[in-house]
Amino acid sequence: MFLTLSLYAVMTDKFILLSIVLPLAILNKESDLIIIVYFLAFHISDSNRRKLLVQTLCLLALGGLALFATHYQARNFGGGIVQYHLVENLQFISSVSSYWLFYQPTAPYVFFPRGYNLVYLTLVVWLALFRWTDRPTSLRRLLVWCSLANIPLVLAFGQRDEIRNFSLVFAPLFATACWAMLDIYGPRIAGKPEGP
Amino acid sequence: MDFGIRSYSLGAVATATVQCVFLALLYFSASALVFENFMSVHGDVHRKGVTFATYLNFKSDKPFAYRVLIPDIAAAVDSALSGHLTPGLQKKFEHQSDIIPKVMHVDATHGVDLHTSIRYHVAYVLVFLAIIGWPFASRLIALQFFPANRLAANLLPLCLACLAQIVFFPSAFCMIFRN
Repeated sequence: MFLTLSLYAVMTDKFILLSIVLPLAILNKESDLIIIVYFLAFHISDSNRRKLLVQTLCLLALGGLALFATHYQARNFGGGIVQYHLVENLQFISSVSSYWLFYQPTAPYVFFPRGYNLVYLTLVVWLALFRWTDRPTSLRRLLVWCSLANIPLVLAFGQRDEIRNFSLVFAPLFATACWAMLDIYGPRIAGKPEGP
Repeated sequence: MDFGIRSYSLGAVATATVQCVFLALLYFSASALVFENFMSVHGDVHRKGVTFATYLNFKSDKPFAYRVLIPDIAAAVDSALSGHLTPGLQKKFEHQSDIIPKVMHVDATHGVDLHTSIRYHVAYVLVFLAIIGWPFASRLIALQFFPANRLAANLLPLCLACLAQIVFFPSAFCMIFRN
């Protein structure tokens, strides 16, 4: 919810809402620091460089403070800072059988594809790359930058094909899906234009 | 062919109200399904490894220990409430709450300690609010793309919730840790 709400705040230029959601999101899960990447993807080409710099510094300060608070509170807790699963994950993705796995999450004998199944991968790749050059630059940047941040994290710290670890890209993918629907169905989905 | 169907038109306010009620019910239903699935995987206090009890009592090892928002809110509510509960409410939290046997998987006759129970109940509500807030936040994004087509903007988050129900929450977590 925090990531989706922050993406909405970024898209609609609601900086105060973003400033409230960002620290809450990081307190909830520290990887939500990626919200700053959402902000930069949409605003990096703004003409008012001074405003962009100030806003980015504000977000970094708020995010850094929240991140410090979480780590300070957990300073005496056991365990390492992260859990490494890189070797296990590389073994998993290098196996051909990993791309054709199914499971039964809802009912026996009702099979659904697992995380890296080709059914999902094909759909996601199509959704991500469909008419790539026609997309708004901000959406392209958002998807590329978030993927570049999220994929290495999943490979290093995720659990095989546990795709909830791609949650940092879910909100950008949802925005991409909205754009794709608009592009495919055009006026039929855009609805009647607002009055003059 | 005449089927004898007459059409009615509602006023703008009535139409908006009916749509809001339907939308709230749809999102509520979808969120409840997602929530049920999530809690069936993560809600058991006796599960091995990171559980709601360790998470809410600040006993998780890192890196789960860094997730502090819900445990902090739950702890604040716990410290505000626990000294002021009537014996009846205290008993309810320890033995008779609906979620004690259903989700926490605690034997209701033996109960659970008061602090864990209060924190768990607070977290339970907060997690559901977060999940139901998700489709509403997604709807706001969808409206940015097709502001004139509210139906599409309303229904797209439901697709997301259904996908989450199947893919996101059970995910490979069930597969890896089930045995």
